[in-house]
Amino acid sequence: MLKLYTCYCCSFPFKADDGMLPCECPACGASPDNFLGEPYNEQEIRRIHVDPPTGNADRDPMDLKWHMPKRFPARTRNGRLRRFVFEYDEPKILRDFYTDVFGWDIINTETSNPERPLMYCATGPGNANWEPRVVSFCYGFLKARDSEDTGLHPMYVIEVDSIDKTVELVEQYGGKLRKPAYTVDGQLYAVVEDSEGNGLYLWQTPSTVTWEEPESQTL
Amino acid sequence: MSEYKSGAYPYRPPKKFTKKSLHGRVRTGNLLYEDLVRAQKFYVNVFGWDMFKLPKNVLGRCPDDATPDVICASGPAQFGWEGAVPGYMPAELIHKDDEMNKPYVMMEVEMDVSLQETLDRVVEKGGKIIDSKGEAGDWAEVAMVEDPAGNRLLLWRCPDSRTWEEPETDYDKE
Repeated sequence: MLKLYTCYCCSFPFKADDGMLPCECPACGASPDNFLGEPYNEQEIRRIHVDPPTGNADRDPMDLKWHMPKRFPARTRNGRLRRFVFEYDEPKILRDFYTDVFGWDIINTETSNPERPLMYCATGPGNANWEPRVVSFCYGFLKARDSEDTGLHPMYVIEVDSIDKTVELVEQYGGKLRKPAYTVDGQLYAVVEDSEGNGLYLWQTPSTVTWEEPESQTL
Repeated sequence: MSEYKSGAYPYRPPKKFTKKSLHGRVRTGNLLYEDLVRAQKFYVNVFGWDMFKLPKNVLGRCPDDATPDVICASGPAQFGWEGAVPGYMPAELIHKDDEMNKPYVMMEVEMDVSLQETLDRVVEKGGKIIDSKGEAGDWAEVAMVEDPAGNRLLLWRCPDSRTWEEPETDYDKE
């Protein structure tokens, strides 16, 4: 029988046949003893079956046990993983691949070289400003491999309040600055290496952000 | 790289994604670590990320207890650790070893067709299958592939447990 299950430990809801229950909560790893099962009736509005646990602002951020995610401060997008970056050797091949197989909407960025463009990719529902409209997925770039000059081939763009302040922290916690701040299409970027050898693009929040944008909200 | 403003280039919004599907959405960015505590200190202190150790069997992986997969909220998150506001995605820290030696993104694929059909399409268009686990545990179907340029993608076919009430499942209704 198909049921809607809700985990008492983390309040994650999922539907499953009662003969095919996962052996652990898919979200927090709790055992099935913690699942509340109710008949599934294709309800149109999410019912709250289990009160979500409350957060603890004093918890040790190094403790990896399941907990409610922390509250992030308002009016900052510092630290958010905002874009992926894939590299290409031949632009048409990669553009066709993601258009044909995954249905992306891909455009050349405004000032890039049409022969070796920096391409921007909508991978799902978006707003008029080409930011995702729905939570928990990213838009990203297709970039010429030979335009990457640090040797790190970073795969992600992380937005920060200040590149200068972030670079200080990067160096304090075992990372390195690999490319000082530079500008593309009026946006400020830098490349750093994390403590594990991963390359990362830093993108400084533009001064034009109004904090009214859906992507600028906190909760 | 650049940021787009309404009314500015490219003078049109992105296309509508009208299918009840998350096919093609890049959902998680994965980074490799050698020393978990060192990586934690870096991402907690530099970027303010919040983290927890994923249960085993998520996305078909059963890492050792000493080298777990760690999910990271890089911004406001729901209680299930999916993003709570649009425009960014969660990250995952994965232990680097001989087999797992290249960062990758997790991308969701069609639920209405088999994973094999999606893999066939990837190969037909020039991609390569790196590891096809098929049914992984009782929760997820996953396969690691590379696109024609060698970028690595973990393709995830969501199980039927999805209720379609989850905020991350919205799509462009016609």
